[in-house]
Amino acid sequence: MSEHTEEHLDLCAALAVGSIDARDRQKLAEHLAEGCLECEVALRDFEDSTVLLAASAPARLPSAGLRDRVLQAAAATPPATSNGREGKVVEFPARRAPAPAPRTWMALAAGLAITTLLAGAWALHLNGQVAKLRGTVRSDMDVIAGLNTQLTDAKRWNDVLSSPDARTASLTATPQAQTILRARATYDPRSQRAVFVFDNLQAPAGKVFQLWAILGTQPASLGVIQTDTQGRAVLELEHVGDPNRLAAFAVSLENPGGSPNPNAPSGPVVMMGKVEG
Amino acid sequence: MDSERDRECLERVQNGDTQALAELYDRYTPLLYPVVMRILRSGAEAEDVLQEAWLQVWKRATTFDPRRGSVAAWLLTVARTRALDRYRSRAARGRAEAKVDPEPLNAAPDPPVEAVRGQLGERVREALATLEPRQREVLEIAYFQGLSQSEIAEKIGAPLGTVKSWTRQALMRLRDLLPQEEWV
Repeated sequence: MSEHTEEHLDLCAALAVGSIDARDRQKLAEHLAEGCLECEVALRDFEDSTVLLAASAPARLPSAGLRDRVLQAAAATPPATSNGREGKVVEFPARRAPAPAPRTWMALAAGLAITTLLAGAWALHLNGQVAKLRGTVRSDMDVIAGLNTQLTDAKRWNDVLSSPDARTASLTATPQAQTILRARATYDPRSQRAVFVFDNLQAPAGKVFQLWAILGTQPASLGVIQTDTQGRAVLELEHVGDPNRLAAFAVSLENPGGSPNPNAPSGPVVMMGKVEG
Repeated sequence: MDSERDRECLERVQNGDTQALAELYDRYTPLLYPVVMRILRSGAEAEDVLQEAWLQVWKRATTFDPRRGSVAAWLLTVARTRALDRYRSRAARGRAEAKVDPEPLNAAPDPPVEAVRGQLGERVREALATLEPRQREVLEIAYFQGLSQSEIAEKIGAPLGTVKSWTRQALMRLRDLLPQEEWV
């Protein structure tokens, strides 16, 4: 997906006021087709703002006869169809010359009453739109905020995996392990973050696996490993250890809750892997 | 609630309900006609174009996409596009400024109509007046003259990128000055 930029918001505004250039229109269409929620919300917001621009035009009403002509033409024309086919186009009734404006007080009063009704309907309509649109925009912005948080988090951990300074460790089973165990660690010395991927890590009943960083020769607990039912786990850990001292990672088999000593396994070490690089 | 009523009206229009079209006409003609009139500055042409626009709504109601904005915004797009097409056609025939019933761009509004429109127009014009003059100019040229941003940049002698950012800033500023809860 193309990255969302401020320029895309400029293009949304241009599209809303109808001044977007053809090349920009294509560019924005492609970006919107990729599902940019932020742009969708902005575009809807800008489109609705055009109501304000329209309201800046000096107030006018057409002749009363226009309404009749529109409705007569509609009655003689097949309406819209859901499959997009248009109805047969018919000639519009000839526009009649405007009649002399009524000058009697009754006519003026009637006209004012009609415009008052129209304005009342218009005011009610705008009131409803306010509540509806504010709710929609607020909901969409919450979704965007949530997605942005997830995206930022994903980028942070992706930075670990793509760091040019990344070190890796392949953890293999020790002779004390009773099954085939596999794990891989990627460690970024600058951020001291690490990503671990475990496979086939299924502890015997009543036991758990615990992860350790070996700093020099001193173990430091990185916590109990939570796996899925297939024995798979992906751990993303902060503050894994000083890069100048980190030598290896290890996994021990412990009683539930892990070793009571955070600096020494109490059960057998079943996996070990030296940090390379 | 009224936006739902608008959508219901459009659905009824799709089913051939002329009463629903009349309902939309009554509700929105006070908003649409002044825009068409300002673009064309001719009462006769404005009524012809608005008639065409409502017939287009009747025949093309299925093209309304609620994800793109409100029914009001869509109706404005239909009417404004029709008016600009007519204006360009007239200009191509070399008589854009000739033989029209003149109405200056700063014409005073019809007092009774303006009064019952809740002074929204006056408040919008006041809000527009507080924008940077060049930003306001860009917005008004774009909306009421229908020029593309490249054409606007050339017309006012500003960089294209500046015209783009001015358009967005002006729209956002307008929204800030007149939040939706104050549109009535």
